Amino acid sequence: MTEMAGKVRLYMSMSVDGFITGPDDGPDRGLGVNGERLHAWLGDGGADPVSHRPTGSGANAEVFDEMMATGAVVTGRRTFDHAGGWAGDHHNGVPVFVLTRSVPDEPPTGHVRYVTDVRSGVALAREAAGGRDVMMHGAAAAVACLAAGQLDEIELHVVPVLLGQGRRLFDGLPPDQVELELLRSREGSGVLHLRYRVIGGGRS
Amino acid sequence: MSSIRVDMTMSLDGYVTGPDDGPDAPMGTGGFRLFNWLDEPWPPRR
Repeated sequence: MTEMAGKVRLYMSMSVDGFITGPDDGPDRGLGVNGERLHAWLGDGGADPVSHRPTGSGANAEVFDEMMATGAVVTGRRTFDHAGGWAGDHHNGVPVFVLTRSVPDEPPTGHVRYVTDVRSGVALAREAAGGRDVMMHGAAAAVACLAAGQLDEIELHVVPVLLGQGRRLFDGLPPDQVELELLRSREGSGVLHLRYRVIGGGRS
Repeated sequence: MSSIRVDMTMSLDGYVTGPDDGPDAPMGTGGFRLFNWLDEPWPPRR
């Protein structure tokens, strides 16, 4: 890898008890029952992620802008499907790589490409990002990339709520401990943004 | 009035012990990592 290469960074909103959705998430209810609470720090918007920019110029808006400045997206299939595939464009037309076990018959729309291998998929995303950072999204993708040593950083938007039930972010990790180093802590309105480096992960 | 406050050391993925905790391994396998902040230098020596 060159000095110019960007970081692969997981971005996820998580409750204090570790959930990224409420219970019963599905294509019609991507965040599960009452899971929208996790996105309350974002602005109101529509299906287009870019439309959810928090108002003002505080930490929430700055973190959001960093997310939208990434040069490629890597996401899991479930997250992708539950989000309606972002109509083929997550933000600014950057390439979207969807990790999946089985590639659908119908061709992907927009800037989407299906990939079946974690390592080569992440490598493609790094290359496509052209020196910018890569945004990763989704719990299964995160766990797969952590296990494969392909994740550089984790940016958690920790929301002060206990959801009690739902889909956990770090479910199914092997028992090996993964050490993290806190790189940054930013307090936004109604959310705490924590950025960690994965020690021994990615290119670190 | 005083407050009742839960005070727990927790990993980022929400665990308060490692696996297989019990009377002989109160913090489970590898779980004492959670208490490094009490007296260990950071980063841990390798």
